[in-house]
Amino acid sequence: MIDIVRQKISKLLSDGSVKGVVALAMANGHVAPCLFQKEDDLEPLCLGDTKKPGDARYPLNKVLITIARQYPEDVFGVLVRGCDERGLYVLYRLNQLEPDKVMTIGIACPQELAKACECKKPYPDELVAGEKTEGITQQGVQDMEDMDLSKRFSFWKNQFSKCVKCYGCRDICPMCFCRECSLECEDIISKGELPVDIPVFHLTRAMHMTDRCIDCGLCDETCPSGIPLRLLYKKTSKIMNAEFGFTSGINKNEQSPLNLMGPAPEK
Amino acid sequence: MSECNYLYGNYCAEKRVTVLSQMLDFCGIEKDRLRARWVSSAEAPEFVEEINEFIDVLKPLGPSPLKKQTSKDVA
Amino acid sequence: MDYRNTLTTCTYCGCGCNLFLESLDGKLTHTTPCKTSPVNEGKLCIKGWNVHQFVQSEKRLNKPLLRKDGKLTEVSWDEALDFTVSKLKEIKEANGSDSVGFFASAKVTNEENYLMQKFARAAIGTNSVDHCARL
Ligand code: SF4
Ligand code: SF4
Ligand code: SF4
Repeated sequence: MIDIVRQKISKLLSDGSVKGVVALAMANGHVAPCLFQKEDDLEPLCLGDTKKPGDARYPLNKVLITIARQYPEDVFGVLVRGCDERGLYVLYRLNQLEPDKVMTIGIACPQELAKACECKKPYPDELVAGEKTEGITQQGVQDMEDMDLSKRFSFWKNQFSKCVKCYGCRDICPMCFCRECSLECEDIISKGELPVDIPVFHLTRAMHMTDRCIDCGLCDETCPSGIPLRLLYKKTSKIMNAEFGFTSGINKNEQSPLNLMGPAPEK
Repeated sequence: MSECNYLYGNYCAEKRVTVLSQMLDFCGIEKDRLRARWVSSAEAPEFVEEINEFIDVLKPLGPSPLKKQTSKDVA
Repeated sequence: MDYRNTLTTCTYCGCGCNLFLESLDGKLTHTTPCKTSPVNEGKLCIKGWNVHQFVQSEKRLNKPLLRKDGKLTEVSWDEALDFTVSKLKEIKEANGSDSVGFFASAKVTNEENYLMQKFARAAIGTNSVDHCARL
């Protein structure tokens, strides 16, 4: 799989269709995001699999935004899994990246990773390497809904009270790019105080992700307190789907129902 | 609904309230604690009626278990 | 166009979390925790997440300051060190070794902290050594 990816990147670089390719590289025994600019320099390329598939994924779209803001005229390539491609579609909608300035190198995720992610679509639309596997049904959210109200309350209260307010969930998220963040607004979130404001902190973030989260799970992986953040955001996307038939990042030319004029949902 | 000053702002707000109330429920918080109604500033009696109705809903639910202790409570 | 992620260790405390400092054309842009590091496994605290900020901060002290006539004035390292040496000697002679205390930091390496306590014990002759991690 990696050879096909390497060939594709090499081709994009040598025929000049892109200025550079954002992907992952293995250096000093660690995986890191990298900008490849020369076609004969692709030796360290890797796909972010070390002990388990996809256990060293990084927010490459975030890297791409940083570079594209500085070099808005150039075209860049980016290595994408299913979730990353969904992320690109959302970033196009939110005017953070321009579709004609981005070329993707899409890879499919193996079944094992898709299961661990409970991923709806573990492959990108534009696939370069890997075998498509089936999407997985969202069991985790269902299990939580099946608990009674008071059980859910104590579950989330315990989870939220573990938060150390590192803001890592926001900082790692490829969909978080705002220059001013509500989580730093002192009218909403108290500053320098623990425990965190429950449930305001986590629900504020969840509400801001409703039409943006593409369910990549990076927040979950970076949370030092092991709070199941992804489960929370999976619920928001389930609501969005049930109420408005919307799934963020599934259509390239999507529009968010939250910003559209239209009748209120029938209750 | 369609008479809003902010054109379609209240439609968007209502959709967000729909999501938020279900999220509260998911986190184990009674969703009746949240409600959004549209009352014009010229409709004082309707406003009073809405608030009274809401109070009738809230009273039986009691104070939120997440209410923060203020320094007054502790003293 | 020079985009890099430099693997380094967080300077804020003794845990030693591994992180990448992301830079574009020589300017630091972001911090990313290292997922393959056995120390922090892709996690950081709020200080670590913002570690790139102080490096380029306008408020950062780059030169020693000495209070002259009640005003902090930029001076050379030689002048600052000479002043410190003469004052430390003066205090030690007037009030004894234990009138001087030493305060080390988690932001420097083990080796530097070792030198600090060695200096306190051997050169000044006091056991009054403490560390910012106890704050
Ligand atoms: S969320 Fe889906 S596409 Fe993304 S890494 Fe997981 S399985 Fe792959
Ligand atoms: S799963 Fe987490 S990190 Fe990924 S888009 Fe959603 S909120 Fe952001
Ligand atoms: S990553 Fe976890 S601990 Fe850090 S702010 Fe987010 S929820 Fe809190």
